[in-house]
Amino acid sequence: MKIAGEQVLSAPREQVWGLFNDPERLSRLIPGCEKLEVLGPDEYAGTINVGIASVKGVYSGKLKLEDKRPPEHYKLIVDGKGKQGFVRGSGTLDLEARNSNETVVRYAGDVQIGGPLMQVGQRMIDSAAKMMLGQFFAAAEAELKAHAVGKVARQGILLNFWRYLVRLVRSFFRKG
Amino acid sequence: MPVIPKFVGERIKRREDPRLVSGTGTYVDDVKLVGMVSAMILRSPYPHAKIISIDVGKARAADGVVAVLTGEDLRGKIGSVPCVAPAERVPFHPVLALGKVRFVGEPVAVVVASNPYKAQDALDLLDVDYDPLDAVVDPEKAFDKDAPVIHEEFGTNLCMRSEVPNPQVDEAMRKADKVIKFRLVNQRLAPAPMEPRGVVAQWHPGLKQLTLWSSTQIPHLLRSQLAEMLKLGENHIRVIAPEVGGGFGCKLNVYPEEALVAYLAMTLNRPVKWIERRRENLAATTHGRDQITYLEVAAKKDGEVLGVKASFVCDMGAYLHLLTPAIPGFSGLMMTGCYKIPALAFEQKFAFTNKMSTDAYRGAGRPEAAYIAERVMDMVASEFGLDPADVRRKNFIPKEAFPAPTAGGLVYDSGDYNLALDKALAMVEYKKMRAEQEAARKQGRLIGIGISSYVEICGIGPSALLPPKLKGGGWESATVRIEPDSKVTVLTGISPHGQGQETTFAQLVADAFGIDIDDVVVVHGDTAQVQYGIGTFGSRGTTVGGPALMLTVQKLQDKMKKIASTMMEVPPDQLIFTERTIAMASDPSRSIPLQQVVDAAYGYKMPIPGVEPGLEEKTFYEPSACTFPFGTHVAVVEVDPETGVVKFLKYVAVDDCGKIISPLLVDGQVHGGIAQGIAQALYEEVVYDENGQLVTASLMDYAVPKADMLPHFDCANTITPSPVNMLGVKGVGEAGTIGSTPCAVNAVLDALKPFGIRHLDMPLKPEKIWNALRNAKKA
Repeated sequence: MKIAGEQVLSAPREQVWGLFNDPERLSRLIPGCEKLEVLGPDEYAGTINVGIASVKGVYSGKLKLEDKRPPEHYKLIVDGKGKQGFVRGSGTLDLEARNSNETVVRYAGDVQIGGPLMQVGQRMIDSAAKMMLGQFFAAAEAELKAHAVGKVARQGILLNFWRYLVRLVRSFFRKG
Repeated sequence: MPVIPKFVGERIKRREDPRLVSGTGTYVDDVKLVGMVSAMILRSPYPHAKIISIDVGKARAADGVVAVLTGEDLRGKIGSVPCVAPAERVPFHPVLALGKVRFVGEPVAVVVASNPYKAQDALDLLDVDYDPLDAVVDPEKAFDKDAPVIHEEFGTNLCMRSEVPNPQVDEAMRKADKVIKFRLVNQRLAPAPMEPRGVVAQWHPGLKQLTLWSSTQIPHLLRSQLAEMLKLGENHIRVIAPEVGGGFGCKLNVYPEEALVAYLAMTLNRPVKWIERRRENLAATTHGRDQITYLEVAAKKDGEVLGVKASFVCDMGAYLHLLTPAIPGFSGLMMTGCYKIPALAFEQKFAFTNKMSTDAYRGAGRPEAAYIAERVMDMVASEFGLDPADVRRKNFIPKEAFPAPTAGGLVYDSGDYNLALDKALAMVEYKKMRAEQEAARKQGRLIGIGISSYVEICGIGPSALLPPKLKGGGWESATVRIEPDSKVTVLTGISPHGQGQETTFAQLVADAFGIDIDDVVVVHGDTAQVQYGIGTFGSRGTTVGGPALMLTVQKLQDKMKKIASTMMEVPPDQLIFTERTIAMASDPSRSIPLQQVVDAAYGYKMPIPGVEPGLEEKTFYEPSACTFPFGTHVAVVEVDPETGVVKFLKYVAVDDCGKIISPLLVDGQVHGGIAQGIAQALYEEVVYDENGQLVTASLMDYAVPKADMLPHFDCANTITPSPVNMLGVKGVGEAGTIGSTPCAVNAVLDALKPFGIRHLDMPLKPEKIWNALRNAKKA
């Protein structure tokens, strides 16, 4: 499965870069993320709990960052598995400063999915992935705003889903 | 005395059905034994990966778990899953993966627990560490230099290459007005029987006897292969095929689970049950077809085909199952169809890929051949602007030519191809439909007429045609016993699973002895009750099992006539069986009741000197040749140019399966066959994604045909008896599947002809047709 897209976050590029390299804060933004630990330099181990269609399960795996060029680029390598299947792939993340307070985040990746997750959930995977990414960016936006004033944003599945919907609705108006 | 009707040739309802539709049949899952435990199998989610480690600790400790085994636990304990067909490279096929997995769905570990739910829960506790490898998905890329090698010991993914050369083909190409070249795909299909596979095994430690219930088409052959895999004597194994809910060739096989469940029952000393789930069935029960064919057709302007040259790439999958490499051979040999094409040459390359094995699926090699032959005829017709019916007539083997040797080296037994074609064209009102098609085209409506005149090979057959490692030839067996109360028990070596021989064979026996059909019981599918037999596949049940039965009936009739002759003082050759009596043919009033003759045979009324007591005979019948049923199917379709949806306006099937014993069953076989054949043409395909993941892993994504996807079928028969057997029958189990696929495709492509669309590969889904139309309009 190929994933590609871009999002605009209302924060300076350095701040976005900082967020995307902070496992502690990231773990609160990733939908269903139960744990994200540092294994070594640019290497993390994590656990995520998600349900796609009727296939619900816990997946654990490793994340590796390569080709790092702060504050604009890294390559991300994911290898995770759970009882309901596996996810394997790599992608790139590019940050571009649109202005002093806005950053364009571009992502592209190729993911291989297998097991029941693929066999039962394949019709939903595309839209589920889009939704999870949407939730992630909504949470990131909130986190960046709070961080700017020295606070920590409240995070939660329902809250981030709400933030995602709000962003989605706003983006429609922006396009119009 | 009541009048007993004749049964052969009558439209009799299947005697099997009342119990099946009322839920009183016994399938494997209905077998319940004291102390029985359940097995569940962990399957590979990867198409190709090394197994680094398997952690079974948590699963073994889980509630209700009796045993957990991996491939390493079975090393040296169970032999390879057998492939009996010859191939250059036959890999070891373990029951549970050893060191490496090679397709999605390959068994990796088994959990046995007190019930299936606990077994399933424990499966989730197994932790397998895989190291994924790149997969080979496209068989045409399997031979690339940089392709990953699936079986390292071979250093190549080429399983075998075979060639049937013929220098006359080059000559034909030179003489041709045109050499037409094209590529065809017979896509991969899933047999998807209504009842998935299932196994129950019970070990009797004192007797050292294994009883195994399996949803199989071949109980005796399975017993022989299991004996070898488990190193047990054949007389220590009893295989029972109870009710079997469809097979379509995928149960003409020996599966890892059959040996595994037997081994578990033997080592745990408890009955073990394993029932396949639908997702397992789609991933790990053999698939069918999957052949790519490159064709060169030498043709004259008048439609005469001088020669055909073909190059096949056949997808074997990751391992070889029982007959995997034998199936494509039929496609090559039968490729000239019902045509007198003088020159044929072909080459076949068999590829290992990271997918489930292919093997027999309803038609097994012949639907592919018929598809090729019938697409060739339509390609020639459209190349030279000829009527497809005329091109077929031009090339038909004439009826005077039978027995007819073919370019493929076969000898067709009998046939009258024009008769079936003419009848089908008359039924469909061909000329009128062509006129309507023309008129509709002017209104922008896309109507197409497709013809398919097929011939297939059935009733296999002389033993020489089957590989020796199968441990059973092409013969079939029957025992007939007249019980002391003059009821008749038939023990047949075939193993019907929907074909209805409990009805057909009872019809034959009832008429032969002048008794009622309800006086006959047909027993099959139990190696402890029935003498060795070969089983049901390749439309051989009635074609080979039938003559075996009737030869046995004749032996019994002879013995009974001998007894009656002594009792009646009438020469035996003047006696006939009628109305539960043995009577004088010339004067039926001179008769004695059948029961009196039976009493005499059993010795308690009137023993006859020089005649052995009892009434039981047995035959092992070796057919002298194969039979070649044929027919013509014609479809009229309308394609919606806006959506690409295909709608059938008419479907006519004329099938010639020789003499007909049970017309209702012949219709049933043809109906089911057409459904599966149309499904290949329009709906079904097994899809693996570019990484080797199975996409069509559930019935949400695999398009098994449903009633609303199919038209009304107008069926008829012509009757050309086979000279090969005493019944004159040819077989009909696969005919519908073979005739209908090219018929539907030809019809759709005929509808698309005004757009210059020459060929589309199956399945002809609306999206594919819509895209082709859109591209054609753009051009």
